[in-house]
Amino acid sequence: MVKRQKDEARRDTRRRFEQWVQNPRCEANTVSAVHGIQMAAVVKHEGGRPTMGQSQFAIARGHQFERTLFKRDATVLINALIKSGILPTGSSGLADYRLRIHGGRCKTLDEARTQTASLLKSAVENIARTPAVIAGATVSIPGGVMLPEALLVIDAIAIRPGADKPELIVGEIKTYPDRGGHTDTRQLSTARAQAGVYVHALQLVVKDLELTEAVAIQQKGFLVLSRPGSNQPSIRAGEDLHYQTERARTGFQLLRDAAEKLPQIKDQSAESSLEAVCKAEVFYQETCLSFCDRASVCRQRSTENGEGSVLGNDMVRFLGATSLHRAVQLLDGATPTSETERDLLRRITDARQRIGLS
Amino acid sequence: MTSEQAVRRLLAFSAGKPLPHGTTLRVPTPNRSLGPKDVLVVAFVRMGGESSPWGIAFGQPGRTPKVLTVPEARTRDDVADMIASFAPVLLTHLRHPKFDSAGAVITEEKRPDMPLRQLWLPNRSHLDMLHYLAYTYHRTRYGTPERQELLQSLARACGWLFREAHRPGQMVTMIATDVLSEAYTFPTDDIRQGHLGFLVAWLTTRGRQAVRVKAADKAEGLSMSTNLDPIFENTGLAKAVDAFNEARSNEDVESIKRWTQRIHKSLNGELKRRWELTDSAITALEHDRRRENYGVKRLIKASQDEYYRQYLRIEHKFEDIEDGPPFTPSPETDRHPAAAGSRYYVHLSSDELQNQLLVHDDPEMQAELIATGKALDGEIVDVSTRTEGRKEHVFWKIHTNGHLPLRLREGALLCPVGNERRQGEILQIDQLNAQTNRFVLQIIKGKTLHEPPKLIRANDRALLGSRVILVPPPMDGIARRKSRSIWNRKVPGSWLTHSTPRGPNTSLPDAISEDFNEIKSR
Amino acid sequence: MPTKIHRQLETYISQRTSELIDYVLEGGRLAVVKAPPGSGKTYLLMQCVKAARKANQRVAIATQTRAQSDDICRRLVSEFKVTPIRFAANSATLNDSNFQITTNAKDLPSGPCVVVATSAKWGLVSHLSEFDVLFVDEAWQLAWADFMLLGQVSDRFILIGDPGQIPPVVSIDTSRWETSPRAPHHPAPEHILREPPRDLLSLDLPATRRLPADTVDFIKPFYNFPFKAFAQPGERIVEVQGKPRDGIDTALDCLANGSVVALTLPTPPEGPPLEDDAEIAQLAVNVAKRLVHRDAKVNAGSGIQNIQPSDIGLCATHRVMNTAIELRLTQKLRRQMRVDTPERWQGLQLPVMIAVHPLSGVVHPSDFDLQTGRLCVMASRHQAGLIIVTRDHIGDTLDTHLPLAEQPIGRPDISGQGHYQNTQFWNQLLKLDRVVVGAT
Repeated sequence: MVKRQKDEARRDTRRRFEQWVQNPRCEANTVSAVHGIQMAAVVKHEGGRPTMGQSQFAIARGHQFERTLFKRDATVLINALIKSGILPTGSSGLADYRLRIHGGRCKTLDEARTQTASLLKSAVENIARTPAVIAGATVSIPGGVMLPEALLVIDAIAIRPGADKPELIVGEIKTYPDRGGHTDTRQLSTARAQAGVYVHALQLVVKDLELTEAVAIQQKGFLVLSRPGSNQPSIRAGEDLHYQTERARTGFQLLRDAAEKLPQIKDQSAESSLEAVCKAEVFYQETCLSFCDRASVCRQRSTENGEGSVLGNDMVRFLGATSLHRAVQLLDGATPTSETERDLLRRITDARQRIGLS
Repeated sequence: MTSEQAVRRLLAFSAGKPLPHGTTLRVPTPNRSLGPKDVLVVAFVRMGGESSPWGIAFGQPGRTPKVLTVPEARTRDDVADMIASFAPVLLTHLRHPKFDSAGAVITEEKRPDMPLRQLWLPNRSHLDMLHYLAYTYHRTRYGTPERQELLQSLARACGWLFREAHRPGQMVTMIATDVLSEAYTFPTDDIRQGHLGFLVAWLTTRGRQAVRVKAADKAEGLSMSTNLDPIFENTGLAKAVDAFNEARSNEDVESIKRWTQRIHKSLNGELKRRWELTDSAITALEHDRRRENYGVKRLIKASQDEYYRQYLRIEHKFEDIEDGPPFTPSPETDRHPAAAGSRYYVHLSSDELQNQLLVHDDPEMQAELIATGKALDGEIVDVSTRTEGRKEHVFWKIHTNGHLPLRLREGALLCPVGNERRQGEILQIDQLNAQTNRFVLQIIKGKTLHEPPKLIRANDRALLGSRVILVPPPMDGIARRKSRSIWNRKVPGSWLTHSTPRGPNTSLPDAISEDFNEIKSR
Repeated sequence: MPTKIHRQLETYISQRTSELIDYVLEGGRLAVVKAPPGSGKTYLLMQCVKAARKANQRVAIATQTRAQSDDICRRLVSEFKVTPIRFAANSATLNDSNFQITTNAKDLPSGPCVVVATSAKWGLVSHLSEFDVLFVDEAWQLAWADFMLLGQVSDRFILIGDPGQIPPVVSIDTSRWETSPRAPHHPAPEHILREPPRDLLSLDLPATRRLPADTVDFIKPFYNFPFKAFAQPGERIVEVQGKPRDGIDTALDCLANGSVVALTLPTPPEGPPLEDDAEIAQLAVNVAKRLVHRDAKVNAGSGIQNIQPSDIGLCATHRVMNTAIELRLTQKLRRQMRVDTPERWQGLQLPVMIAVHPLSGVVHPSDFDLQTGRLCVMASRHQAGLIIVTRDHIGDTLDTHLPLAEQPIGRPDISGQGHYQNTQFWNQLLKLDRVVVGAT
């Protein structure tokens, strides 16, 4: 059982994909994402202390939220979906393919995947007898040379009868608080990115099952968020997933391409894997702080090297080929030794004059 | 990032310390325009995944804060009790009529002059907590009627403070990280400037760059947002909470007390750190040698107006001809088109006012405006007049540096720095040569103002050869007028312009909706 | 010689024009006309105004800028023999004896008339007598809140505009209203078309008179309605004399068999400059000079003519770049060639445009960078030729960019859409082999 669970965990390619897109130019990030080497482990290996993590309470909240949505045949969720116009009045029924450890019916992800495929086929044959919601629909994106297949568990799919064929609407469930226009945009983009991956995977599975003409996967999905101070979910219908689906398609291809360019890790021991990340080139940028445990190490290195990125990504462009250290020397009166340095000094001088700081 | 911003940051990096941004301070601080009791510092922490507070620290700067916590943040009633204890402090601070005698004496006809009251928060996540509170208690039905009323009053206060924080130029809800980032240029990237501890360490640590960097890095390792460090939460606190819950289900009074104290002790340290760093930010500003921009006083006045119009008179249920009916806005949005439009115009008006007030007293701001092409710095090369009947038209020709960007156009209005009462309209812009642009201005206001030596009549040829800096005048009056006019639904086109919206986003749950009847009653 | 397509388009336009005029004369309450760039929307507006005036209606026209108001007044006089009243904030800037100018609403006639003013002026005036109908030009640049203030002008509205252009610029945080059913900062037609009253008349103009035929394929992705070009393939051309010496010449030569070409410079390994790309500015200026030096001939729709400097416009999204371009022009050329941002180019046209691609130098595009309104405007000002100058990273940047969908709840994914549209535009250039390596 433990081994099977570990296998399942190693097929978490979606999470690694999202890690990689945060900084695709960083080789260390690519190695970590492709080979599933946790940055926290790398930091420990280097003698540091990982700082990223997830609150146990937040995890519990997520589970609790999901339980509320799916209990009693997903009554709460289905009522909310009807109210928001995603499902027609009278819709009912839940196909729960979540793993048993999460409160569902399936023992393994493979079982969930098989059940999902079976349900999709039967929906085509008889939509009237198809449950309105699938929880934990499991689909996959084929792997490449370096990447295993990505097994994806879709939070929720709403199924409704369309004009001539069943319509599938992908939903992403998050405990993020819905505050209207003030809802955290980074959280929204994360949710939409995940939903886009799910739509992409669903398209592949439907194609694989030769059901492309028989079902309509909607380009607009829905978000299920929490509402501050309330137990009721907040459903946001009509979320535009068209371009996020394309992002997923392009992104996975780019990741496969990047993976193929990586040098092989000598052996698959933990030590070699960690060393592979440590030795890989890094590309530090300010957003690394928000997702990577190793950000402070890379920033330290960038500071020593005089990289402009320690003052923000745009500083790199401003400085051009000149390092921060050299830029400071020029500010302090050093004589430029190249056209590039002369140009930088001129731009600095002009800007200082413009803002009255000459 | 513009080149000017890049250079500022580079200069700060070169200096090895934060550098002042602007020759004046653009915020009111205690001991200048405000007294210490006009400021309340508040900090929150919350449990991972929850949107309600786990603890609150609050108090006036320079004093010891009061700290309230609950052992289990997922028990709504306990959290409501905690909030109910905090509410009177906030409501008194805001002079709510039921909590402060000063707030109770105002009438529709008489608004006494009252000093501004400020709320300081560590960073934006704490501001978001105000929004959560507004959502949670907007129409709460928990508890006795008195408690419901208290919590709903708090919700309205938090909602107003949150909305006010987004109005440009406001001086009420102060986010310490934002204030510091505006007042100083830090030698670091934007994301790190969201950490208050990091900024305060840079500002207050003495010594060379390496010393400051070390202190700032160390400070950055400790969470400042309302979220706790997950490792801190998962080790220790999680067990304590589990133990508390078990004690509670066993009704073990001693254990309940013990675990409550244990949790309080952990959270107390976290809250105090956030609160004290905010206090330190205020202190740093107090010690800043720059004087306060004289435009700040007018922005304070604008904030006082907003405080009355958008908070106090609504608590009194007073109608306002200028600002519409006294309805309680939804925490989420304004669904009523006129309400949305009116607030939108007020914000536009505030944006113009802020930009155009502060610039008169800050040469660095003037230079920035000139650098972006929105202001002029030039020499008056000609002063001419033309008489039409009894009217005298006065024209200035001004030469400026032709290398600078140009965003001004014919028809734009400008006023001399330090003198908004005189205004000119650009009639013509020519590029004489690569080095020189020429502007022809007609002086349309304040032609005859004469207060020598700083201000002489616009038609006086003694102006020839003098340098003049012209900036956009405060035009907030126009947007303000629009914010009033938009309420008028007795117009021919109201069947379309003021119709009730249909379709998406028209419904909100009762718990967070505004009362349309309150709005329509006007 | 009009072709069959021409005749069909003219017939269609004539029918839609009649439909709209009838609607106005019969008291129709609300019409929205979507018009691609250069399709004659202002002309259509003026035709309707003339008909309404002839029917003794009291007609108001709202524009978004003073220049547009002045221009409509002049054109009403010269092309339609209608004498309007220009209702202005300040009369000092106007000097035209062909129409009356007034600043006071009390001076407006109570009987049939045509009054032209900016939306801002209409929205603020008090003591206004109701007009029979209000025409709104460039309606997609009018925010809903500003439209609400126009309710005092009339109870009947005809809105005409180009949905592909730059939306109203908003300088404040609008988060509070993003989920409002009528967000005050969104374009007015957007709300109307989302909740259309039953008697709404909605029309699309079918074709652009301004743009060359092949340009339409470039800008079609920016629109959600189809349109064609009046110009026939190959009709609008720019031809230069002499033999090509370098990349600039090669690009100009391309304009003989296609209206759009891109001219690139290598991207420095450490990334392009932050704001002021001197090399790109110089390239844009060199292209302009070369057009003149090579005695370019242009057919912008009214026969072959020698190009004049005033036939060439330059455009960059950032004012710093526009300044850099202007500084590199000779004084004489600076007086003759307009250099401006896309916002200021809206509503204008010239035979040849030289535009700095909005993404040139932007290696990590933000939502703002990807908004296609600016590119759409830049790519739809020319009547014969468009030369886009840029660093050569655009294709790679777009291919490897994975847009984040950070838009507020319920709003369209403008970042994704912008990425898609920019990619389509660039791919069209590659597909037609119209990306040339340039040199300063």
